[in-house]
Formats: sequence, structure tokens, C-alpha cells
Amino acid sequence: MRRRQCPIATGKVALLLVTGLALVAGCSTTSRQRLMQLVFDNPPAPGESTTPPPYQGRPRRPPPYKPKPPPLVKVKVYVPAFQRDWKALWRKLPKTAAGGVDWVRALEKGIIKPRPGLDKKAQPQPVLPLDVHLKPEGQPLFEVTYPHKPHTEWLACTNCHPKIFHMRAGADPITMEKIFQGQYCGRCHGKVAFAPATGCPRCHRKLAGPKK
Amino acid sequence: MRRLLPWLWAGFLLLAGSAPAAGLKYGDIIIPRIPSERNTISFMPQALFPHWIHRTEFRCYVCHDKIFKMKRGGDRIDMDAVRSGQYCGKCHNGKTAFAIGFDTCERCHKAPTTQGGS
Repeated sequence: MRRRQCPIATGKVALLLVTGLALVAGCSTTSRQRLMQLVFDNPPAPGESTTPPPYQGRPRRPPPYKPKPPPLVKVKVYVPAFQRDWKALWRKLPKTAAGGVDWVRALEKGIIKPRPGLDKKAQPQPVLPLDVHLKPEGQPLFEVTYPHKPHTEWLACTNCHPKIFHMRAGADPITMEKIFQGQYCGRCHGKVAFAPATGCPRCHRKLAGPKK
Repeated sequence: MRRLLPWLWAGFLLLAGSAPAAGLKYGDIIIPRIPSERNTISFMPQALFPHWIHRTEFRCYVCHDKIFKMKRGGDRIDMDAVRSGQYCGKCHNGKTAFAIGFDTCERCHKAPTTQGGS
């Protein structure tokens, strides 16, 4: 009995030994590789990743042809002499409530610098700071203040005196009717200077009301 | 839509008719055409004098009354006079302002209408 029992015990021990050896061998990479080659076809190499590479099929059509942009060529633009951006200048000029240009304010603020002569060294003529008050009889509200200052900034004395206005306050029978017909102030106001129909308080200063 | 069309057409015509007047700024002057035997170029638009542009550059007394009278149509301005250095030619000679030539015609001759010159 004993003799019979013995080989079974050694077989068990041998099996245990083999299993233990296989387990130990499985832990080292080279031996595991050998084991894997024994069991599987084409096992992955030790360093190889097990995830499959992404699929890269042939593109269905060739990529679109993109020609290189031509090199930039600098072209000289013909600029006519004495050409300026008049539209931008018009936008810059201060306007009155009626929409015309406020030339007095434009000159005051230095937005424009009109030359006083064709000669570049020409000096502006002296400005006359004289206000003339014209008082219509019985209508104190319509008193007119004529300022020489803004007028002499633009005009010479001989432009008005003595052809249009006598050089004495109240010497001319100026009426609004005559101005609207283009006489006296109407020579300029209503043509190039602010229109008398929309600029009442600029001459009749008492109509202006309190200043804002 | 068929009822609306004539009205739309009328509106368009009105707008188109009023457009030339809108091209003129306050104070702009259309130089009157001088009738003469030589002046047969009727297709040329009349010369437009933009007063406001000149006011930004020069004071009134530079031109008035030495070069121009202060009256529209008060001077007999023709191209011969301008070319010989009178009137506009005082400045428009290439030194103070652009010169007169075949490349600058349309800088003055661009009046939007041939009516109402003087």
C-alpha cells in the first residue's frame, strides 16, 4: 500500500513544483514571451502596445489643388496734385442748427486755417473789435448787434464800405425785407454766410433767450 | 403690387429729379455759360464753384473784390481768361492750386445741372 501511495504523492509535489515554476517564469518578460509563443500565434512583442493602430485607408480623392498666392506687388497709386479728402473735411466742420457750416466757430476752434493771401508770408489783416447796435424804433426786442470782429476776420473793409453800408451806424435803411431781397446783409447772408431765415438770434441777440 | 407700381415709379422719378439739387452745397455757384461762337461744347457740364472748399483755404478778402466781384455772374469768366492767369487762373496754375489741363477738366466742370446758372 505504501509503495503505491508514494508515487501519487511525488506526482502531486511535481505538479505543484511545475505550476510554481510556471508562475515564477510568467513574471519575467522573456520567459512570458516564450510561454505566450507556445500558447498563441504571433503574440505581441514585449515593448509593443496591445491597442491596434488607427485605420489609415487611402483618401477617396486627391486633396484639392491650392496654388500659392502670388507675391505682393506694390503699385503706385496716381494721386492728383492738390487733392484732399473734402468729404472728411466737411464732416469735421462745425454745423449750425440749420445744417450749414458755422464758419465763425470753425475759425475760432482752429479747425480751418484760411490763408490771408496768395503769398505764403501774408499776414492776416487786423481785426476790428467794434460792435454796432442798431435799435429799431419801438421794437427793443429786435435790437441788432453787429459784431465787426467775425466779419473783419473774413472780409476787408472795402468789401462792404462804402458801397453796401455807409460808415455810420443807422445811416442805412436796413429792413428784413431788403435783406431777403439780397440787399445790405443779404449780399452775403443767404448766399454764403448763414441764412437770415434760420439764424435770427445770431443778429437779434435778445431773441436768443437764456444761454444753455 | 400692380396698384403700387405707378406710385413707386413716381417716387423714383421725384427722387431722381431732386438729386441734382442735393449735389450742390450752400453757397456753391454754377458759373454761367457765356454764349459765344466758340462756345459750342454743349456736352461739357458747367463749372461748379464750391464756395465752402475755398473758404476753408482762404479768407474772403483774398478774392473779393480784387479777383472776383461779390456778385454771381458779375465777372465774365471764360477759359481763355482763366488760362491767361485771370480769375480762377490766379491760383489754379499748379503752384497754389491744381493747374488747368485736360486731366483736371472734371474737377470744375461737374455741375449737376445745366439750368440755373446765373
